[in-house]
This record gives sequence, structure tokens and C-alpha cells, in this order.
Amino acid sequence: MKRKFWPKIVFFLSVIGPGIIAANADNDAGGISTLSTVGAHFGFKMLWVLFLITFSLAITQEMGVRIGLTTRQGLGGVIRENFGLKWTAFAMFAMLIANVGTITAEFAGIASSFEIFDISKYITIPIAALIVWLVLYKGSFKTAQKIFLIFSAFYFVYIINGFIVKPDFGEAFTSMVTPTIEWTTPFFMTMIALIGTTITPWGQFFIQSYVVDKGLDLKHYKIEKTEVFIGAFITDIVSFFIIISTAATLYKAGIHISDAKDAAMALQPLAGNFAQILFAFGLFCASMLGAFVLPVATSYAICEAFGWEYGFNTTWKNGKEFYTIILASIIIPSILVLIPKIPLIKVMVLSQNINGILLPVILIFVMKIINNPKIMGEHTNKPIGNIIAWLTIIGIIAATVILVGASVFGIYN
Amino acid sequence: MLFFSTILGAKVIDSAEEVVGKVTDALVKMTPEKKYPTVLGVVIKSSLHKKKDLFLPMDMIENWGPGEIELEGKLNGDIEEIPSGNHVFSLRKNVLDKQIVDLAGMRIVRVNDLQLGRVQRTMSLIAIDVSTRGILRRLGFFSQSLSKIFRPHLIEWNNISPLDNKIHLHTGAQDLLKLHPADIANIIERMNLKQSGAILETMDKATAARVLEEVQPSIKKILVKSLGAGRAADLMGKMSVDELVDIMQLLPKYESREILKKLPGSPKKENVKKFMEYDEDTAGGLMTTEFIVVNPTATVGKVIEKIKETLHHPRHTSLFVYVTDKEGKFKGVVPLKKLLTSTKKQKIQEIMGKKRKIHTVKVDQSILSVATLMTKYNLLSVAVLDSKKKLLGIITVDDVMREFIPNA
Repeated sequence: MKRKFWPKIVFFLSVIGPGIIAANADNDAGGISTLSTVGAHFGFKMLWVLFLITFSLAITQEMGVRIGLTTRQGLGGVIRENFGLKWTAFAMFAMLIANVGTITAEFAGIASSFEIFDISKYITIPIAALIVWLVLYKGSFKTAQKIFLIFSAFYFVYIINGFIVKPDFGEAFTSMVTPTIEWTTPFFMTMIALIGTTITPWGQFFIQSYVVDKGLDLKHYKIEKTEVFIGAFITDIVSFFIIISTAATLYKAGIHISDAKDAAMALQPLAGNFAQILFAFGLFCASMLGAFVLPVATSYAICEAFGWEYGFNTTWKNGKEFYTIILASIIIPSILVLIPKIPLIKVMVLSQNINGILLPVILIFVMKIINNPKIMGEHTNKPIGNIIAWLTIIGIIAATVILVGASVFGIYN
Repeated sequence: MLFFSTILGAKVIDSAEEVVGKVTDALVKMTPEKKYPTVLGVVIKSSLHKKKDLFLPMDMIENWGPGEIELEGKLNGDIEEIPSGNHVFSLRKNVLDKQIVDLAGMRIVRVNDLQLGRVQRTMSLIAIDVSTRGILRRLGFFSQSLSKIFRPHLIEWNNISPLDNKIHLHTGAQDLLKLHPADIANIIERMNLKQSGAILETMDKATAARVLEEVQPSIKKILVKSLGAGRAADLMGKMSVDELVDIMQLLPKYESREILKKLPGSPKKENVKKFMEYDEDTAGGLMTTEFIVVNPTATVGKVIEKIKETLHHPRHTSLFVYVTDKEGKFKGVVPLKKLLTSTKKQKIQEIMGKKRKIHTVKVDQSILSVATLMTKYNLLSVAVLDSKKKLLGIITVDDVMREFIPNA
């Protein structure tokens, strides 16, 4: 019996808790490439955005926890029961697009990490897709998730690296509180991606399901709140150091990131010649983590909302929707990544862009739910939470409008 | 077939062919006795009375059709009040889009649409639609060309059990009790805590305890926690000692102590305490104490009487009786078959098998080795002894199965 070993790991992870797990899972393939791009292409200029969205992340995750604790249901179920089928279909469609985008980023991440060693994506992607499916189907999903989660803590090396590169911390902190905007399409693209990789539609679904599945209770709320806030803080500290690392190396040297090898150069001060191996390993683990979690999370949310049977203990016949969604959300992204000459790094950043653009859709639902006393009872939002959340939503929408305007009219280029 | 989705938003036309409003809801009366809930009437948003919500009882409605409802006569000033009360439910708020237990399929489904129809001339709620076809119909995407791909799936109302807390409270969960506890447990595993807690509340203690036993460990732990020590101890008082100990071992120390304090019946309490000292990976952690013990000098007739006494006890296995001497030392087993084929006056020691070695296990032996032994010698149960050969308990084959397939 494997009981003796696993309780220890399970215990260890139950101490970490959902807030920090969700936070760590944020640093996936899309995250690392977006943050690297932010630092490499714009130096410290976007640190103020990161600073602000740390609060947004904390607040939105906390709301997810609160809805989960109060309703004891996933976000998909709550939307379905309170907004009817049409709105549910709309919300689920938005989430599906965002998630398929992110899964594509994960597969792009897997492909990129092996391309550092010149191993073709036509070999790695089919194998990876098969492994993901087999591991999910054979049911050791949770174990796989945990293993890759531990490995993906690799991103903490960026913190060490951030000190080794000796950046100008004074300047960095000034940039954090001094809003700078470049009126260019790439700037707004990257900014939305930065928001979209930090606060994600799937993250919103994930945190809520997590507290429901763990059977946490309202009496755990205070602990969970603190944990979520710490989680948001840790995520953005890591993000901060990734940006600083790339800013101090690539931005200074004027190198634009066009593939993973470029992004890996940011780790050279710490790892020297091993930078590429280290980067490849980290990128691979984080991508695999996302590739495991997201298809399942997507399928769970959709099946919960539409009332289809879900879970790996359902049969093929009863759970055909559940398995179809999982399979489709593995196969479609794999095929997209296999398109010849597709720029992988751009795919990863673009996927986070899509996440950012679709995020307000999900957040508006969250806001409607959390301010409805019929659903939340006495646990509706306080004004401060509403202000921060609405500013986030308005901020993203404004940035999207500017971006769309810029690309349609091309006036800023 | 009349679907609720085609009535939602339907135009309401009076006898003067004038559109007077749009349907926003329908109300039904649900009672524990009635098989199909009766439709009381519809709620409309009036286009005349400053967009007020009005209730139109059934007798005002002349014709029901998809997208259109015709009224008998004209809509005049005196409007009926929207009915309320314990047995009045809104189809839109309490039933549509909510989760419901499909009793035949033994699973939780979501209500995508509702089928209405006449039962003995009264308009009633007949069935729920749980199919993808229902989703497409409501989204307006359904057409006949898709009807081959998306098959209809309707579940009759008397084959479901609603999960809505309000409905539950006023109509009861009796229908759910028709299922086997293990099946109820499987359903409960899929519910959210609020619902599963509520369902356990509505059941009698003995059934609730049996259901709780069957729930898979991770969810069992959460459920027990959310029930609170008081109610949990109540239910667990109905369980066998080994099941009880299993749950105790899932819980953190202070919580199990809390439950132990509130547990009714002191001999059981002592047993639980004793059991909890055994490691859960050993024979001691797996064994049960509910079996029949007899003296070597007892007669077959007495033993059969004893077995009859335990008949009401569902967990007692009487395939074997266990023989111990006065000090409780294990002497042997007698299979039921042997008892049945012996005369009533014969003594146990006379019919006890002596030819072959009887396989037993030690209390600190690992579960895997117990399972190996039982598999090798095809044992249905095996006695657990301490170092002085004292009989502590038995392990049955289903205890072992549960250990290796915990989620079934």
C-alpha cells in the first residue's frame, strides 16, 4: 500500500493551500514568456502595472474563495443557477476560448523547451499530448499535478538571479509607482498579456473549485483570505524578478525575444552555461503542469455548468461530453502548435492576450454574483473590494479598446 | 410536447387579440403525495400595467402553445395575487437550471428544460429534460436536422428527487431512500456539501449512518467535519466499531476526541478507544469485532439460536462462528454449513474441524500480508489474534476489498 508515503506529501500540500498553489500555477508557459517579453522589450516600464494588478489578483482570488465557501459550488454552477442558460453558454464560451489559448501556450512551451536542445516539435508534441492524455485517463492526475507543481517552483531561481544581476532596485521601485505608457500597439498588447497572465479566467474557476473540493468552510475564510493575499504577493514577487532579470540582461543588450533561447539568456548571470538547460527544464515543468490541469479544469467547469457527468470514474458512455472536451482541448492546441513556422513565443504571449481580453467577461459575472445578497447572504463585497475590482475591469477594457483602435486604425505606429 | 422553455418569454394574447404581456415564470404546487406537480398558473410581465408582474391562474388560460398563450376573455383590473406558501414553487427559480437526482440512473443531472402536459385534464409538470438537445432548444440552435445526433433524454418527475433545499424541506427525500445506501453514497459524493449535509439530515439515523459508511474516505472526512461533532456522533453511534474507527482515523486528533466524547453507549466507546491504538495499515486497523463467539462446550442448537438473534444486525456475518476458551484464546472456527448438517445436541468441540491447520493472522501483521494469505487459501474471513493467541477480531474479505478499491 502506498498510503504511508503519500499522506506526507498530501499533508505538505494541504499546508501550502489553494491560494499559493493557484499562484504558483500562474507561472506557466504563458506567464514566463509574457513576463520575459515585458522585461526584455520594455525594461522597467511596466512594473507599475504589475504593482497595481497585485492588488487586483488578491481581490479577485479572494472573491472566488468567498463565492466558493458561501455557495459550495464551482463558478460554472453558480453562473448557471443564477443567470440562466444563455448567459452560461456565453461565459463558458469565453472561458473555453481563453483556456484553449492557454493550453496552446503550454504546448508551445513544451515545444520550445525541447527546441533549445534542437529536438523537433513534431516529435515532442505528439509524445507530450499522448502522455498528458494517458496520465489523465489512467487517473493519476492529482499526483502528476503535484509533482509538476513542486518542480515548477523552479521559478524561484529568478529571485536569486534577480539579485545576482544587480539591477538598480531604486529605479525599479520608482518605476513601480510611476505610471509610464508608450502609445504603441506592442506596448498595449504586452500590457494586456501581463494582466491576462496574472489574473486569468481559469484561475477564477480554479480557486473556487479548489475550496469547494477541499470542503473548506466559512470558518476557514480568514485563513484562506490571508493565504490568497500571500499567494498573490508571492506570484508577483516572482513576476517582478523575472521582469527585472530580463530587463537587466536582454533589455540592456537590446535583444528582442523571438525564441526560448533568447529568454533563457536572462538566467546566464546565475547559471552561466547552464542557463539554457535550467530554463528549458523549468519551462517544461511549468508547461506540463498547465497541460495537465487546464484540459481537466475546462472540462469540469463546462460539464458542471451544463449538467453533464464528469470525473474520471464516469464511463465513456455516460461521460462522453467530459472526455470529448478533454480530448479536444489537448488535440486542438497540439495541432495549432504543429503549424509549420508558427512563432512559439508569440503564441504564448498572444494566448495571454486573449486571456486578458476575455477576463472582464468572467470578472463581471463574479461581480454580479458577489454583490447579490440572495446568493452571498451577508458575505457580499465591501466597497473597497468593489472599487478595486471594477477599476481592474475598466482598466482592461480601456486597454483593449485602445489596442483594438490602434490595430484597426494603425494610428500609433 | 410542450416545453417550459417555449413558454418562457411567450406572448400573452387576450381574447381581443391584443398582446398583454410576456411570460416570465410558471408556478407549480408540489406535495409529497402528488405524483406530478400541478401547474397553478403563469407569471407575466404585463405590458399594460406599468410592466408589473401579474399572476394568471390556469382557468384564465384558454390555449397553451409554444411561443404564445391565449387568454380566455380580457385582462381586467382585478388581478390575482401571486400565490405563495410552502408548497408553491417557481419553475424558473426552483427547478430550471438546478441540479436534480436521477433516481433511475442514480446520478446528479442538471435540469435543462421541463416538459409540461395534461395529466387527467390538469396541466402538470411531467418530466425534466436533461439532454444536450434541451440546451440547444433553449439557446435557439435546435433544428430537426440535429435530432439524430442529439437524442432526447427526458426523466419523468416521479423518477427524480430535487436537491433544492426548499423543495426538499417541504416534500422530503423519501424517494431517495428507495436506493441502496451505496448508491446514495455515490450520489452524495457528487453533490456540494450544503446539499449532501441536507440530505443526510432528512434521513433517519440508521440509513444516514449506512450511507456515510459507503462514502469514499476523502469526502467522508469532509462530511463528518461539516456535520459537526454532535450530529456526527449521533450517526456514528449506529455504525460498527471498525467503520467508526476508520472514520476516526481520517480525522485530526482533536476532532476525533470531540466525537468520541459525544458517542452514545460506553462499551462501544471503550472498543473504539482500544481499536484506535492499532495502526491502520495492520490487521488490527482493519478488523471488525462484530462476529459470533461461542464456547467449545456449547451445543449446536444453542449456537443456531445465537445466530438467529443477530439476524436483524445487517453487518454481522454468520458464515462462521468463532470458538474461544474461557480466557478468550482462539480455538477454531465452525462454518455455518457444518452447523446446519450437525444434530442439535452435538457439542461444538465435536464438530470443530481438526484436520487442517486453521489460518489466523497477528494483530500487527500488514494488510497486504493478510490479503495475500486470504487470497492464497481462499478465505472468506480470518481471525485476528494477539501474541497470547487471544481472539481480538476478524477480517472479512469485503473489508480487504474495500481497502484496495476504496472508491467503489
